[in-house]
Amino acid sequence: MKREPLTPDDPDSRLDNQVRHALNVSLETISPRQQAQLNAARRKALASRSASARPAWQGWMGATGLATSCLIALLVLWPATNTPTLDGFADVLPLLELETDEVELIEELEFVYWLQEQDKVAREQG
Amino acid sequence: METFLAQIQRQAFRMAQLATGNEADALDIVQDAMMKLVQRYQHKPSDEWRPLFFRILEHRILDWHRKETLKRRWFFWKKPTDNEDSDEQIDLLEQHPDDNEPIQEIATRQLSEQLLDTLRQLPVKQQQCFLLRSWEGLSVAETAHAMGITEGSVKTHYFRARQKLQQVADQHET
Repeated sequence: MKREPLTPDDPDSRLDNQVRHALNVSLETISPRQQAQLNAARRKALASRSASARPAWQGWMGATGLATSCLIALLVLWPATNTPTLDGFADVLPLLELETDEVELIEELEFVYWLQEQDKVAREQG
Repeated sequence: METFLAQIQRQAFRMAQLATGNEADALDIVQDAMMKLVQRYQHKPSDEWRPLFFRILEHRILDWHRKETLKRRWFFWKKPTDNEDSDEQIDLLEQHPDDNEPIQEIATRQLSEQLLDTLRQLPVKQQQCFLLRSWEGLSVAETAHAMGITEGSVKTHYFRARQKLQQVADQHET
Protein backbone atom coordinates (compact mmCIF):
# COMPACT_ATOMS: atom_id res chain seq x y z
CA MET A 1 0.00 0.00 0.00
CA LYS A 2 2.34 2.72 -1.07
CA ARG A 3 1.34 6.08 -2.43
CA GLU A 4 2.48 6.68 -5.99
CA PRO A 5 5.09 9.40 -6.11
CA LEU A 6 3.80 12.93 -6.49
CA THR A 7 6.10 15.81 -7.23
CA PRO A 8 5.33 18.97 -5.25
CA ASP A 9 5.93 21.23 -8.27
CA ASP A 10 3.45 19.36 -10.37
CA PRO A 11 0.16 21.33 -10.52
CA ASP A 12 -1.72 18.05 -10.33
CA SER A 13 -0.07 17.18 -7.06
CA ARG A 14 -0.87 20.67 -5.83
CA LEU A 15 -4.51 20.01 -6.57
CA ASP A 16 -4.27 16.70 -4.72
CA ASN A 17 -2.76 18.43 -1.74
CA GLN A 18 -5.49 21.07 -1.74
CA VAL A 19 -8.25 18.46 -1.79
CA ARG A 20 -6.50 16.30 0.80
CA HIS A 21 -6.13 19.31 3.03
CA ALA A 22 -9.83 20.10 2.68
CA LEU A 23 -10.76 16.52 3.48
CA ASN A 24 -8.45 16.32 6.48
CA VAL A 25 -9.84 19.57 7.86
CA SER A 26 -13.35 18.21 7.34
CA LEU A 27 -12.45 15.25 9.58
CA GLU A 28 -11.81 17.63 12.43
CA THR A 29 -15.35 18.91 12.16
CA ILE A 30 -16.94 15.52 12.80
CA SER A 31 -19.22 16.25 15.73
CA PRO A 32 -18.96 14.51 19.11
CA ARG A 33 -22.34 12.92 18.40
CA GLN A 34 -21.13 11.48 15.09
CA GLN A 35 -17.90 10.35 16.75
CA ALA A 36 -19.91 8.57 19.45
CA GLN A 37 -22.03 6.88 16.79
CA LEU A 38 -18.93 5.72 14.95
CA ASN A 39 -17.45 4.37 18.18
CA ALA A 40 -20.68 2.50 18.86
CA ALA A 41 -20.62 1.07 15.33
CA ARG A 42 -17.07 -0.10 15.86
CA ARG A 43 -17.92 -1.74 19.17
CA LYS A 44 -20.90 -3.46 17.58
CA ALA A 45 -18.71 -4.76 14.75
CA LEU A 46 -16.14 -6.08 17.20
CA ALA A 47 -18.87 -7.67 19.33
CA SER A 48 -20.11 -9.51 16.25
CA ARG A 49 -16.69 -11.16 16.09
CA SER A 50 -17.07 -12.74 19.51
CA ALA A 51 -20.66 -13.71 18.73
CA SER A 52 -19.68 -15.36 15.48
CA ALA A 53 -16.55 -17.02 16.87
CA ARG A 54 -17.24 -20.55 18.17
CA PRO A 55 -15.20 -22.40 20.79
CA ALA A 56 -12.82 -25.02 19.37
CA TRP A 57 -14.70 -27.93 20.92
CA GLN A 58 -17.82 -26.90 19.00
CA GLY A 59 -15.87 -27.18 15.79
CA TRP A 60 -14.69 -30.68 16.72
CA MET A 61 -18.21 -31.68 17.70
CA GLY A 62 -19.53 -30.47 14.38
CA ALA A 63 -16.88 -32.33 12.40
CA THR A 64 -17.39 -35.54 14.38
CA GLY A 65 -21.15 -35.31 13.98
CA LEU A 66 -20.82 -34.84 10.24
CA ALA A 67 -18.46 -37.80 9.92
CA THR A 68 -20.82 -40.03 11.96
CA SER A 69 -23.79 -39.00 9.82
CA CYS A 70 -21.88 -39.85 6.66
CA LEU A 71 -20.89 -43.23 8.06
CA ILE A 72 -24.46 -44.10 9.04
CA ALA A 73 -25.76 -42.97 5.64
CA LEU A 74 -23.13 -45.13 3.95
CA LEU A 75 -24.00 -48.19 6.02
CA VAL A 76 -27.71 -47.77 5.35
CA LEU A 77 -27.39 -47.11 1.64
CA TRP A 78 -24.58 -49.59 0.85
CA PRO A 79 -26.65 -52.83 1.12
CA ALA A 80 -29.47 -51.20 -0.82
CA THR A 81 -27.22 -50.27 -3.69
CA ASN A 82 -25.60 -53.74 -3.80
CA THR A 83 -28.74 -55.90 -3.59
CA PRO A 84 -28.99 -58.06 -6.75
CA THR A 85 -31.85 -57.04 -8.96
CA LEU A 86 -34.41 -59.46 -10.35
CA ASP A 87 -34.61 -57.85 -13.78
CA GLY A 88 -33.46 -61.06 -15.50
CA PHE A 89 -36.23 -63.09 -13.89
CA ALA A 90 -39.15 -61.01 -15.04
CA ASP A 91 -40.94 -64.02 -16.55
CA VAL A 92 -40.68 -66.02 -13.38
CA LEU A 93 -41.67 -63.25 -10.98
CA PRO A 94 -45.46 -63.70 -11.32
CA LEU A 95 -45.04 -67.40 -10.43
CA LEU A 96 -43.19 -66.53 -7.25
CA GLU A 97 -46.19 -64.63 -6.06
CA LEU A 98 -48.56 -67.57 -6.47
CA GLU A 99 -49.89 -69.63 -3.59
CA THR A 100 -49.12 -73.38 -3.43
CA ASP A 101 -52.67 -74.33 -4.46
CA GLU A 102 -52.46 -72.09 -7.50
CA VAL A 103 -49.21 -73.75 -8.58
CA GLU A 104 -50.91 -77.15 -8.42
CA LEU A 105 -53.77 -75.82 -10.55
CA ILE A 106 -51.32 -74.63 -13.20
CA GLU A 107 -49.64 -78.05 -13.18
CA GLU A 108 -53.10 -79.63 -13.63
CA LEU A 109 -53.89 -77.36 -16.53
CA GLU A 110 -50.61 -78.24 -18.22
CA PHE A 111 -51.44 -81.92 -17.77
CA VAL A 112 -54.90 -81.38 -19.26
CA TYR A 113 -53.40 -79.57 -22.25
CA TRP A 114 -50.89 -82.41 -22.70
CA LEU A 115 -53.68 -84.98 -22.65
CA GLN A 116 -55.59 -82.98 -25.25
CA GLU A 117 -52.52 -82.87 -27.44
CA GLN A 118 -52.06 -86.61 -27.10
CA ASP A 119 -55.72 -87.25 -28.05
CA LYS A 120 -55.35 -84.94 -31.08
CA VAL A 121 -52.23 -86.78 -32.29
CA ALA A 122 -53.93 -90.18 -31.86
CA ARG A 123 -56.98 -89.04 -33.89
CA GLU A 124 -54.79 -87.73 -36.68
CA GLN A 125 -52.90 -91.04 -36.83
CA GLY A 126 -56.05 -93.13 -36.52
CA MET B 1 -8.40 -4.91 14.71
CA GLU B 2 -9.90 -2.37 17.11
CA THR B 3 -7.00 0.02 16.56
CA PHE B 4 -7.28 -0.35 12.82
CA LEU B 5 -11.01 0.36 12.82
CA ALA B 6 -10.56 3.33 15.14
CA GLN B 7 -7.98 4.78 12.76
CA ILE B 8 -10.07 4.35 9.68
CA GLN B 9 -13.63 5.03 10.84
CA ARG B 10 -13.71 8.79 10.38
CA GLN B 11 -12.30 8.71 6.84
CA ALA B 12 -14.66 5.90 5.92
CA PHE B 13 -17.58 7.85 7.33
CA ARG B 14 -16.60 10.95 5.38
CA MET B 15 -16.26 8.98 2.15
CA ALA B 16 -19.67 7.39 2.64
CA GLN B 17 -21.19 10.72 3.59
CA LEU B 18 -19.84 12.38 0.45
CA ALA B 19 -21.27 9.56 -1.64
CA THR B 20 -24.68 9.34 0.00
CA GLY B 21 -25.21 12.90 1.17
CA ASN B 22 -26.91 11.31 4.14
CA GLU B 23 -25.47 10.88 7.60
CA ALA B 24 -27.62 7.95 8.70
CA ASP B 25 -26.95 5.95 5.54
CA ALA B 26 -23.24 6.75 5.77
CA LEU B 27 -23.17 5.40 9.32
CA ASP B 28 -25.01 2.25 8.27
CA ILE B 29 -22.57 1.69 5.42
CA VAL B 30 -19.52 2.15 7.64
CA GLN B 31 -20.90 -0.12 10.34
CA ASP B 32 -21.76 -2.79 7.80
CA ALA B 33 -18.29 -2.61 6.27
CA MET B 34 -16.71 -2.91 9.71
CA MET B 35 -18.85 -5.92 10.59
CA LYS B 36 -18.07 -7.71 7.35
CA LEU B 37 -14.35 -7.10 7.80
CA VAL B 38 -14.43 -8.40 11.36
CA GLN B 39 -16.59 -11.42 10.64
CA ARG B 40 -14.93 -12.55 7.43
CA TYR B 41 -11.38 -11.28 7.35
CA GLN B 42 -10.16 -10.90 10.92
CA HIS B 43 -7.96 -13.97 10.44
CA LYS B 44 -6.10 -12.30 7.55
CA PRO B 45 -2.77 -10.54 8.13
CA SER B 46 -3.29 -6.99 9.39
CA ASP B 47 -1.62 -5.41 6.36
CA GLU B 48 -4.44 -6.82 4.21
CA TRP B 49 -7.20 -5.24 6.29
CA ARG B 50 -6.99 -1.80 4.71
CA PRO B 51 -7.51 -2.82 1.05
CA LEU B 52 -10.13 -5.36 2.14
CA PHE B 53 -11.99 -2.78 4.19
CA PHE B 54 -12.08 -0.28 1.33
CA ARG B 55 -13.19 -2.97 -1.05
CA ILE B 56 -16.15 -3.78 1.22
CA LEU B 57 -16.88 -0.09 1.76
CA GLU B 58 -16.86 0.66 -1.96
CA HIS B 59 -19.17 -2.24 -2.71
CA ARG B 60 -21.59 -1.04 -0.07
CA ILE B 61 -21.47 2.54 -1.39
CA LEU B 62 -21.99 1.50 -5.01
CA ASP B 63 -24.73 -0.87 -3.93
CA TRP B 64 -26.43 1.95 -2.06
CA HIS B 65 -26.27 4.08 -5.20
CA ARG B 66 -27.76 1.35 -7.37
CA LYS B 67 -30.65 0.97 -4.94
CA GLU B 68 -31.18 4.73 -4.77
CA THR B 69 -31.20 4.99 -8.56
CA LEU B 70 -33.76 2.22 -8.73
CA LYS B 71 -35.84 3.84 -6.02
CA ARG B 72 -35.76 7.17 -7.83
CA ARG B 73 -36.86 5.45 -11.03
CA TRP B 74 -39.86 3.85 -9.31
CA PHE B 75 -40.78 6.87 -7.18
CA PHE B 76 -40.00 9.48 -9.81
CA TRP B 77 -42.60 11.90 -8.48
CA LYS B 78 -40.72 12.28 -5.20
CA LYS B 79 -37.94 14.81 -4.88
CA PRO B 80 -34.44 13.61 -4.12
CA THR B 81 -34.32 13.00 -0.39
CA ASP B 82 -30.78 13.87 0.49
CA ASN B 83 -30.47 14.49 4.19
CA GLU B 84 -34.12 13.73 4.84
CA ASP B 85 -33.18 11.74 7.92
CA SER B 86 -30.72 14.31 9.07
CA ASP B 87 -31.80 17.33 10.99
CA GLU B 88 -28.87 19.31 9.75
CA GLN B 89 -27.53 20.21 6.36
CA ILE B 90 -24.17 18.62 5.75
CA ASP B 91 -21.54 21.23 6.14
CA LEU B 92 -18.23 19.49 5.98
CA LEU B 93 -16.34 22.56 7.08
CA GLU B 94 -18.41 23.97 9.88
CA GLN B 95 -15.90 26.63 10.70
CA HIS B 96 -17.26 30.12 10.49
CA PRO B 97 -15.26 33.14 9.42
CA ASP B 98 -13.46 34.93 12.13
CA ASP B 99 -13.02 38.70 11.87
CA ASN B 100 -9.35 38.34 12.68
CA GLU B 101 -8.71 35.53 10.21
CA PRO B 102 -5.94 36.40 7.77
CA ILE B 103 -7.02 36.85 4.16
CA GLN B 104 -4.90 33.92 3.01
CA GLU B 105 -6.61 31.58 5.45
CA ILE B 106 -10.03 32.78 4.38
CA ALA B 107 -9.11 32.12 0.76
CA THR B 108 -7.85 28.63 1.61
CA ARG B 109 -11.01 27.84 3.55
CA GLN B 110 -13.22 29.08 0.72
CA LEU B 111 -11.29 26.99 -1.79
CA SER B 112 -11.61 23.95 0.48
CA GLU B 113 -15.36 24.46 0.71
CA GLN B 114 -15.66 24.74 -3.06
CA LEU B 115 -13.49 21.68 -3.64
CA LEU B 116 -15.49 19.58 -1.20
CA ASP B 117 -18.72 20.82 -2.74
CA THR B 118 -17.48 19.82 -6.19
CA LEU B 119 -16.30 16.48 -4.87
CA ARG B 120 -19.75 15.85 -3.40
CA GLN B 121 -21.41 16.61 -6.74
CA LEU B 122 -19.19 14.32 -8.79
CA PRO B 123 -20.64 11.09 -10.18
CA VAL B 124 -20.10 8.46 -7.49
CA LYS B 125 -17.48 6.46 -9.37
CA GLN B 126 -15.39 9.53 -10.18
CA GLN B 127 -15.75 10.68 -6.59
CA GLN B 128 -14.79 7.39 -4.98
CA CYS B 129 -11.99 6.85 -7.46
CA PHE B 130 -10.51 10.20 -6.57
CA LEU B 131 -10.90 9.61 -2.83
CA LEU B 132 -9.29 6.19 -2.94
CA ARG B 133 -6.42 7.31 -5.14
CA SER B 134 -5.72 10.72 -3.73
CA TRP B 135 -6.90 10.57 -0.12
CA GLU B 136 -6.40 6.92 0.77
CA GLY B 137 -3.31 6.59 -1.39
CA LEU B 138 -4.37 3.40 -3.13
CA SER B 139 -2.60 2.54 -6.38
CA VAL B 140 -4.49 2.24 -9.66
CA ALA B 141 -4.56 -1.54 -9.31
CA GLU B 142 -5.75 -1.39 -5.69
CA THR B 143 -8.44 1.14 -6.56
CA ALA B 144 -9.60 -1.03 -9.46
CA HIS B 145 -9.76 -4.04 -7.13
CA ALA B 146 -11.62 -2.10 -4.45
CA MET B 147 -14.19 -0.75 -6.88
CA GLY B 148 -14.52 -3.86 -9.01
CA ILE B 149 -13.65 -2.01 -12.22
CA THR B 150 -10.75 -2.14 -14.66
CA GLU B 151 -7.57 -0.14 -14.24
CA GLY B 152 -8.44 1.73 -17.44
CA SER B 153 -11.77 2.81 -15.92
CA VAL B 154 -9.97 3.95 -12.77
CA LYS B 155 -7.69 6.17 -14.84
CA THR B 156 -10.63 7.61 -16.76
CA HIS B 157 -12.73 8.32 -13.64
CA TYR B 158 -9.75 9.78 -11.85
CA PHE B 159 -8.83 12.00 -14.78
CA ARG B 160 -12.39 13.33 -15.12
CA ALA B 161 -12.66 14.00 -11.39
CA ARG B 162 -9.40 15.91 -11.44
CA GLN B 163 -10.48 17.93 -14.45
CA LYS B 164 -13.57 19.18 -12.60
CA LEU B 165 -11.69 19.87 -9.40
CA GLN B 166 -8.95 21.64 -11.32
CA GLN B 167 -11.52 23.94 -12.93
CA VAL B 168 -12.71 24.97 -9.48
CA ALA B 169 -9.16 25.57 -8.28
CA ASP B 170 -8.35 27.59 -11.39
CA GLN B 171 -11.49 29.71 -11.05
CA HIS B 172 -10.62 30.39 -7.45
CA GLU B 173 -7.17 31.65 -8.35
CA THR B 174 -8.37 34.03 -11.05
